Amino acid sequence: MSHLKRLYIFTGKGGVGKTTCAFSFAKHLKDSGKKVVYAHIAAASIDKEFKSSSEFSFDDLEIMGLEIKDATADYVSMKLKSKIVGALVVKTPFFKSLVSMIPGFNYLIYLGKIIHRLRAEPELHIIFDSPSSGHALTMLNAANNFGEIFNSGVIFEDTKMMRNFLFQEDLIKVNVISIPTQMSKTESSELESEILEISSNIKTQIIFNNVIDESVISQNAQLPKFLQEKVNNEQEVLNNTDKVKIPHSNAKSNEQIALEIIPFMQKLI
Amino acid sequence: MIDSSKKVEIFSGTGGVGKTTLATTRAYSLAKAGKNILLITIDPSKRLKEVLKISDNSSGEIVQIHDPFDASSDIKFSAMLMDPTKTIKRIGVETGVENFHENRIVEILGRPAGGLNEILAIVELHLKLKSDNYDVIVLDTPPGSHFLDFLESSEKIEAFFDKKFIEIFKYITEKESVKSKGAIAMKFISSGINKLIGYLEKVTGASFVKDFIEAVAVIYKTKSVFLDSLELKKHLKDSSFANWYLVTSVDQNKLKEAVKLFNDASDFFTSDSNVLLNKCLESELEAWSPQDEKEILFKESLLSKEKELKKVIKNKFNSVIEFKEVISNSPQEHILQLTKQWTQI
Repeated sequence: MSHLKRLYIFTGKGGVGKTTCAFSFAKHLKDSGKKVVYAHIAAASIDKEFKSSSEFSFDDLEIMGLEIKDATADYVSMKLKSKIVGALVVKTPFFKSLVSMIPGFNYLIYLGKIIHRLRAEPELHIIFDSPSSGHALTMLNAANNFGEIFNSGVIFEDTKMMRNFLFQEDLIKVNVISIPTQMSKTESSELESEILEISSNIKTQIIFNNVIDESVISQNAQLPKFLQEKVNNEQEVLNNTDKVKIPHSNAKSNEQIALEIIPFMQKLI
Repeated sequence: MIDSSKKVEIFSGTGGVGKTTLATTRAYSLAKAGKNILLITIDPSKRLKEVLKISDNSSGEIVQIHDPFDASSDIKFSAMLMDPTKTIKRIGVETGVENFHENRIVEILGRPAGGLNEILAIVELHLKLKSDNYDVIVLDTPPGSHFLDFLESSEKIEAFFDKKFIEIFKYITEKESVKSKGAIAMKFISSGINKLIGYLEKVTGASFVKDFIEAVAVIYKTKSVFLDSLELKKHLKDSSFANWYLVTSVDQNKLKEAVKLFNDASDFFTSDSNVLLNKCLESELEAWSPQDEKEILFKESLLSKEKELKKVIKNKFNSVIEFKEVISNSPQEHILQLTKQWTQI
């Protein structure tokens, strides 16, 4: 049995079911009595709006919307020990263009926010639904890159602390969600090795979602040619992997799917 | 029949929908029809590069793609994988600012996920259009709404050329000479700005503020290329000039996101642009009559999902082109079959 980690990042290419898996996993941890926060990138810092517009019901889950403007203002205010000065600094054109142009600056701010919570609450587990593979890498790299970008100043000092905290053992697990196609498998493996290059202390795992297995079609079913080929291709991709497989669900909504696949979530720990 | 007389064809869509493969096969099918084509792509997968025989070290340069399936054929098209570093060098050459690419901050901004990535793609498009070597340029854009966000607001780059912003920087760089003049009014202003700069330095470090000011100055010198490229943006809305393809796929788990992207894009969506719906299986599924309970449910789940997506999309857009799912683990097969589907439209 794996150790429980503090930060779970769900990533992978678009449309593979990241949010569904992340939501399902958050439910699973919550159900087993853990303290859980579901983090996501938000367009605005109003969690209420997100809750009501989402296709998932987050009623009993605490969510953390990572939104760049407010998070940056909070961070700078905290560092300069003044809300007024902080607001003044983030409003300058210099700082505004900095935020939008420096690669990964927003992720550095998000990481700061996540780390702040994790340090303050040792019992807490954060499940982060990361937009896509590139974003997850940018985020994990942010703490490294910014040491190089800024040579001094409070952000520079913070990145040192971030690296020490993030890359300790048993802190981060990245679940790379994939679909059972050759292309997705190759890309997921590439992502996995790129993540391990950042720190070998990060745990990673590829999860194959939406697999057509015997729970979906009977083993000796007579299938039309296109479907038989699809199944054969999938088996070829999944052959000799000990990776976690989550079967296709016939449920109508993504929330129903998330609830249905909870039994598989223990393997994502 | 799709109009292939446009100068530019732009492929946009959420990630993982086959956008790059569809752009590539479009380029290939246009080349087959005798057109002189350039494909500009942002981030192709390793496997696609292998099929097209593009090596990593040729990125940022134009390479000739010969028919990947038939060595004896003389069908070929030009392709370029975006490499921001190379584009930045080209901008330096174009504007006579030779050390442009050497600026530390410019180099950082040009890295993947940096703030210059989208504008650099437009700059490339602009430069290649200027060369006038091609009948059609096919542009594959980064996934998601980044590209559209950029086209809509352009605020990142416009912020750079904002007058007030530049003037503050000019003032700071000339600070020393201003001080020596000893103007009282200037001193008063400078104490305010100095205080602010002091705060900024505290956050980002003194050397960074200095480097960034230098970067702004050097980017400002190259502004003609950026401003010309922003001008190009207007033409992309012109239906006699550009064809837009919005790509989504049936196996996507995020109908909502696709619809949002399509709504955002409608400003650029000229009347004869198209939605490409990839990985359709409807006709195959309809032809299947399973007996077993399990398979009936499976068929219904796939079919109803596909039908719902089509209903939503067709409700919003006139031209929806369906591409059948290519069921194969071989990337060659995907290219071959999708090219065939392009020529059958």
